[in-house]
Amino acid sequence: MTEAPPLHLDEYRAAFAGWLDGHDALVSRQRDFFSLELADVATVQQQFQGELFAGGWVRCGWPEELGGLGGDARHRAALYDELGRRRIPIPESYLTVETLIPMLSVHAPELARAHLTDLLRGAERWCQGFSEPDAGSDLASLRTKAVRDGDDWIVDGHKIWTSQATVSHRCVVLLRTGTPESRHRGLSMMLVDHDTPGVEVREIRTMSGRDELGEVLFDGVRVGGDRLIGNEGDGWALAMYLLQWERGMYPWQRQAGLLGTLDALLERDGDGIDPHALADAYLSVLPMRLSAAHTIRRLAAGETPGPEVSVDKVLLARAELVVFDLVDSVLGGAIELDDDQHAQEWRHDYLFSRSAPIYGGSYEIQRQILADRVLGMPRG
Amino acid sequence: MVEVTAIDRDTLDIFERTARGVLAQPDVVVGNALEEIGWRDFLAADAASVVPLVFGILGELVLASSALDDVAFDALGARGEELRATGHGFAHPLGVRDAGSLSGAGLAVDAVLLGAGRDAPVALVAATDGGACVFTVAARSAGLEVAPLDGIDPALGLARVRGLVPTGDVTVHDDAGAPAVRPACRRALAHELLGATDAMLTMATEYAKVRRQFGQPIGAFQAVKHRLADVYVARQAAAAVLDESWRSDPACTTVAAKALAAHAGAVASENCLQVLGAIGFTLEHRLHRYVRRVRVLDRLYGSARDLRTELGRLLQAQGRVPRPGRG
Repeated sequence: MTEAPPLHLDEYRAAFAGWLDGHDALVSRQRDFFSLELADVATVQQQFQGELFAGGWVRCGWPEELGGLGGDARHRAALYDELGRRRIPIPESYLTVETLIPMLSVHAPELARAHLTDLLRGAERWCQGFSEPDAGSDLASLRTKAVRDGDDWIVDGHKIWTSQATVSHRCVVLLRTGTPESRHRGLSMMLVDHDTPGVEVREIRTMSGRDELGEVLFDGVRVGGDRLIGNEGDGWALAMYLLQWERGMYPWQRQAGLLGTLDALLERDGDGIDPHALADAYLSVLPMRLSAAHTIRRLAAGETPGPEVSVDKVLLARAELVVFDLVDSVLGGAIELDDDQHAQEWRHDYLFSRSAPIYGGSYEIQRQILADRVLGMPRG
Repeated sequence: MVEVTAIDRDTLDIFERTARGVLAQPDVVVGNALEEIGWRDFLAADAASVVPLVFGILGELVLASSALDDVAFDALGARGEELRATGHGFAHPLGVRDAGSLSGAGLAVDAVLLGAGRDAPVALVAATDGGACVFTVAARSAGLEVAPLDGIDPALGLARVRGLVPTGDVTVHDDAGAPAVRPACRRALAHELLGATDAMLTMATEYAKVRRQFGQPIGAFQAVKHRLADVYVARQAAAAVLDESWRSDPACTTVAAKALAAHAGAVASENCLQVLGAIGFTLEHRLHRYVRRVRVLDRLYGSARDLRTELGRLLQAQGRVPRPGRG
């Protein structure tokens, strides 16, 4: 490995920008590649992840005891920002890394230590099995269950709309270990390998045309006791813990991408855009950038943000829609009526943006959380 | 004037408590109250700490004052202090453009005065071929008409000042940092707008907890929750950008912050009125004072709509969108 990157934040940022400048071919391949097949995307991004790992870039921001090179969430944020600035897609796998690893590093450090470096360099990918056919927004009603069998657990049930499921090697699953009536109290979290007998993964193609989602079916799957994250019954608390990272870092990653999209529009036809609509789009992303930055700084400082971080997700949902509505209007029909690769890419991104008010806790649920838990409104 | 350079947290806490105390008194004369707590010294020492506090409170309590003149004079440094000390009022623009513009014919002025009477000399920022400059116009100058106006918010006690002043009657102060006035005033107005937004949100939230219909508090209905959550999101969005505007390049961030704060005020006006229902629509309820106030604050230094156009043109000129703030 080459010399480790500097950890001073400004130096890190500058050094990473310099490294990207010197890797034109790698950068253009990431930027120009497009496929509706998730497996192809994963393969191309894996190559990039390997380089980012070898240079030490993605190891910064993670503690040394987990295989990182030190630093904190602000280093990771700087890396994502720089990728967005250059319109390089952030490898999809880093979304789950950002959500799951901070939680694991506190509640199952041995699992984090065993897998972090493989996740960073793209040797393995994970997904997050929360939603079920009958448990979407009402997560506490989930039914996929784990029953003790000696030191092991036997898992049965059905997860659905799981992002990246078809290209993942393992799944962090939220399971019912209590009675069916135990709601959020009787939940536990486990790491399950997709190659365990009894696990079946099926692709689900989304409106965007890509096999973005999947179903994960569990039929008498034996999971070792060492794969329980935290303690039995901790599942809900762990899910809530990781969601605050999902609020902070995912909107941060997306703002980097969305500002890159606005740059692309300016580059394409800067003066032709209605300035009011352009400002509207920018003003939908800017608060999300600054609010997410604030959340990340708090998380990096070891604070536990409260329910007010739901603001980040509400802002994200709106920003995605507003920015891609602007894209659609600037392209003037290409999304609807053209078939070249650019049009296909924009079409995919446009359609994918429509899911922002749904995934990761719906727009309605986030606003209800704000009303109930921040404003103290009476529960219905 | 006392030169203080940094205000520690404790002093600031005391300042805030004192400010709240004096400003919350019934029939307060805001100018006197601010004078009493040494507001201008604090402003000169640490605008970034006290402007959010004072303008937040002014917005929350829907008070009328000429504190915005102080902000403009403070942005002009020593020259501003001199103009203030010699009794000048400050003429604030009603849109994104400057309060005046200079041509061969003279100084064309169209602006509002917050506090000063019709007999005071007036300072303003006006456009010239060489960029914005600070001008003063003597009291009772020919061509300058000062007329009190009620408008939508008579409680503000505004006066419209307009006319064409002959060049001989104006003095230019090109030593003053004229371009600093607009961002400073936009920031202060944005804080006032957020104060007003918070007050509206609080009154609607409290009402939704106690007003019962169909056997339950109306705040238990999701449609009501969502309306108020939307107000909260709009104020948080504006606050995030406003906060950053004290650190980053103000050209872009103060425009963005004021546009977002005015938007938050508009969302609050609409949604809080809807939650308060008929009582909120009457003059018996104090909501109308806020609804009126945010309309006028929106107009000063450019409405949310005009600021968006200005911001869009700024982005087009730069060719890339700015990325203030870091993770």
